[in-house]
Amino acid sequence: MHSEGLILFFLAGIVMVGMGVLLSSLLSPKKQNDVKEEAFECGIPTEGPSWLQFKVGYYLFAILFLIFDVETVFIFPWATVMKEMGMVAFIEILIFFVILGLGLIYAWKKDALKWE
Amino acid sequence: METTIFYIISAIILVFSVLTVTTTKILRAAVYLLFTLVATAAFYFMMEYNFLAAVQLTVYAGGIVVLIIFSILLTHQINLDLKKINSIKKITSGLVSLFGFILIGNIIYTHTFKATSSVIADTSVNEIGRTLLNYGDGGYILPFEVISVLLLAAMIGAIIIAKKK
Amino acid sequence: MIEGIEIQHIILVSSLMFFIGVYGFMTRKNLITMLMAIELMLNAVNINFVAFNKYLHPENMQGHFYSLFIIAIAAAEAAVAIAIIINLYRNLHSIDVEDVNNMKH
Repeated sequence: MHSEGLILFFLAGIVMVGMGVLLSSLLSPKKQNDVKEEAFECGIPTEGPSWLQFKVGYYLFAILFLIFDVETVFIFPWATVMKEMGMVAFIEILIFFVILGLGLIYAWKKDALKWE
Repeated sequence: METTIFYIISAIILVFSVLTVTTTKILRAAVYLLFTLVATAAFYFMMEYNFLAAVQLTVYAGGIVVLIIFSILLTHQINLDLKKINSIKKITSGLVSLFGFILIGNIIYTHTFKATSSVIADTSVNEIGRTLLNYGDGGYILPFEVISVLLLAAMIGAIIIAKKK
Repeated sequence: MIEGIEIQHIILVSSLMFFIGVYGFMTRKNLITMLMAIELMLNAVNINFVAFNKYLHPENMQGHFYSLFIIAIAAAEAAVAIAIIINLYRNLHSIDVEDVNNMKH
């Protein structure tokens, strides 16, 4: 393993980012006033806390994303050997696809994919 | 050199695991969990299981932690300070964990581990795909298909629970 | 295999991680943090499988595939668990384990 390169890489990253932060904090003029605390450019001033609960309906998309994320992981090794394994691998992945496709159809029929 | 990197990664894993279970801010716990999982992926990279490390990053760090943070946002607890646990419970759980660790550590140090072979298997993605789709001896086609049924069941279950009014 | 590292060190790290997860599971009362503790334990088990595979049986890849399937199962488990947690929050407005004390709502 070329660990010298790795360490050099880490050091270069730390030095470059650190120097940027350090120099800007040393050189920049520091003046506080009320205008600086406001929201920049656009939008209206916020009212109340900005940590708000958002709509519960959205998390179905996150769950579906996670399931299809796992599916992608299993399709990837198949994709690299598809040509050499031929028809057998194709039928195997077809079964895999059909079973997970049933889930997608179910989600569709239940309106889980509707953005409301 | 690799030894040093190993110890640094172990230190990261242990420190952030402890922080995950002891911090009082729930969102911070999720972020510490993310660091632990990424450091675990580094272990896999060091052992040259590159595909497994990539899977760890995409599914755990990119999927499960995102889902956990999502659920924290949905249940309105970003600023919530977790309840203080009474110290008796803390001490009891700590002692139970410590006892278990000492037991396991003792077994680890008294047992002699012997490698059965010095041949190292090819762990490229090609070889993984060939083994995964192989239906003969040493193939993993059955779990591969069963996983799709499991994912289907999880998907339908999640939709039913979520859609219930 | 990591050069200069015995298998004992890796297993020691993973078992420490497992028992930290056990400690978290016993002390936490919030369902989401308990789920995080379970993820820690699953992760420790995965490290174990990979280490045993790489150090003791490097000629085949059973540990590798076992970890792969554990990761997939952990994803399915997290999806269902979080669906349940959010549904509980909708009904009870709390995700504390001590508030969940009736079977049907």
